[in-house]
Amino acid sequence: MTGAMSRATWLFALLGVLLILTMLLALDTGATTVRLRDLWHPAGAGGEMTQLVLRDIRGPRIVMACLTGAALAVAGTIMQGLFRNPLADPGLAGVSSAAALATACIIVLGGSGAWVSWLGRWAIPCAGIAGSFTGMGLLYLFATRGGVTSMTAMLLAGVAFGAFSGALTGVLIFRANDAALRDLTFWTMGSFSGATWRGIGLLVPFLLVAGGLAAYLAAPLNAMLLNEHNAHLMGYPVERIKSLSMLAVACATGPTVSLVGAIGFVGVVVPHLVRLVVGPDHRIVLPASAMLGAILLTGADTMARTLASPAEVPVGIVTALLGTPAFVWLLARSHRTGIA
Amino acid sequence: MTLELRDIIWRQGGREILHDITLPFARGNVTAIIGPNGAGKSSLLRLASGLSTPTGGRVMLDGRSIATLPARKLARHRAMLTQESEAAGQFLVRQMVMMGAGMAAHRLDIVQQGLLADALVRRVGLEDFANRQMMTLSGGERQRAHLARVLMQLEVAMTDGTLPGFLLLDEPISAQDPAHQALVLQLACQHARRGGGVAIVLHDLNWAAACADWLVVVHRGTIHAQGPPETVLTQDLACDIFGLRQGCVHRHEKTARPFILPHDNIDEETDRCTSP
Repeated sequence: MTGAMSRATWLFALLGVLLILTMLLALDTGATTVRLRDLWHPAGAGGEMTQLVLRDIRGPRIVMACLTGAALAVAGTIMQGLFRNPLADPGLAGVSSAAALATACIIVLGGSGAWVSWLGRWAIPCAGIAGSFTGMGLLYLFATRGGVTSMTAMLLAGVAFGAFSGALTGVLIFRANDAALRDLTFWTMGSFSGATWRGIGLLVPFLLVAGGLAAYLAAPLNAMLLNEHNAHLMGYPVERIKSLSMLAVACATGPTVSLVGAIGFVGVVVPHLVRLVVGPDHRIVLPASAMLGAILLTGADTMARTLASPAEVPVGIVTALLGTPAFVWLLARSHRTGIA
Repeated sequence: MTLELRDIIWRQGGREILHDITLPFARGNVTAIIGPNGAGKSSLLRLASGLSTPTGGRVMLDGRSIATLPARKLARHRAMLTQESEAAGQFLVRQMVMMGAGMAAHRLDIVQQGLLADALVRRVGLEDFANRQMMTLSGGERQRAHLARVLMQLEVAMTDGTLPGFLLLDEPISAQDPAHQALVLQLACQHARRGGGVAIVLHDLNWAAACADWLVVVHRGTIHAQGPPETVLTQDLACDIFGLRQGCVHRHEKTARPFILPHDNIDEETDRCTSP
């Protein structure tokens, strides 16, 4: 334990430094010539421009990328611990697909509804959040009989639900006009280009709930790795742990996916990378995954907006391009060492 | 101060697995549960632990139904080693044993938890494996690591003056070599001598007769016989319930406890074990 703890201390220190460096680099990099050092030399109109770019454009974007990366990584860690499956990710819980379906409904069908016009530009994130919680709730109810939730039933129903939502989204895409199709395609690939401080304000309460739950769940999830029966015998309220885990995943994933679109691989790859270094203890893996997720997604977003500058590559494409080889490497490694 | 099964009925899949089971496990006693395969021994232990809920009857802990106790409170008074010894993946042996502290971990600081875990790892003979990953251990070593975790659960509960709890062991020596079979059962007996209650499901009749204060024979879902090993493990029981040959039950010279010689169950002409 001492060895693992000291390794964890080093890892947290390293991740902290990397996170700060990545954020500074992201703040310093962009399509405009505005640089971080300009903050210390504010002169006339240039100074205002600097403040505008850093405070209102890159600032919220970086914070949103950090929060999204952390949220998706934490959700992935919880899912993998709960399902005792190293390949589980938040998508399996029906959250992402339900959010996608609800978002597609608004983009393709919902433009004329009274409440949609009342919500204005918040209509899409609000629908996504409502959709994700509804999807998770339906799956949970389906998999729960007599107060006992079957994780196997939940997993299988999640796959079926994802396929069905995908089919319905496909029908909507089929019916969509060109503008809606373009919006939907960009949403599917994910982007932080629309990040605002208001959006972050909407996200933060959900992430605080998810973070609080994750802190409570860390030790119980360790026990769940020894199987549900052993966790119960050790005194953990197994059914409550399952429901709180699903709530944490919904809070972490639903609002982020609704605000920035579907971003894959962070939830699967990041917890794996952390476990390779510090082992399986969730008390270390959860916070470390949050930090690494924030670093990777901030880095990926910086690449997304500079690779084809001034045009922008959707961040989902960058994470998939980087994530796929990493994922395949992990699979091959797990296969060699007999972990998976 | 007992853990008691009262008028237990348990059905599963439309089949009655256990019926009319009334059985107290007393503190300070080692109770061994024996019986042929499929008799319902493990089901009985799972009901006693609260893992399964009886179809009829109640399981009482010190006069209170365990159905009314929250898992956290129940865990302070009973711990169970199940048959499935999970590989527990990349956890180190010491980490896994410390996890036994469970929701009571806050009672001890991390150093005290580590010291207690180290002591238990030594007691189960795994001191050289403390920093090895669980998945690298053999089946027997893994089983003993889980035993140390289960003992950790009861030891941590005792730090606030709680009486030693009930230790429920489901075939704890199934993967052990002879020396470690003795070690595991010795640890169980030590727990009983400290005032804890012990219930062990065993297939080895000799170990059951040698270490138990009370022997319970489960057959076809009900208690066929119970009492001190000397009175329960008779020649008739060996023949009727376990299908062994006449003359196979002997008495130990010093302890007078019964034991069974495998030679007595081998057909001399064919050198093959007799079928029941």
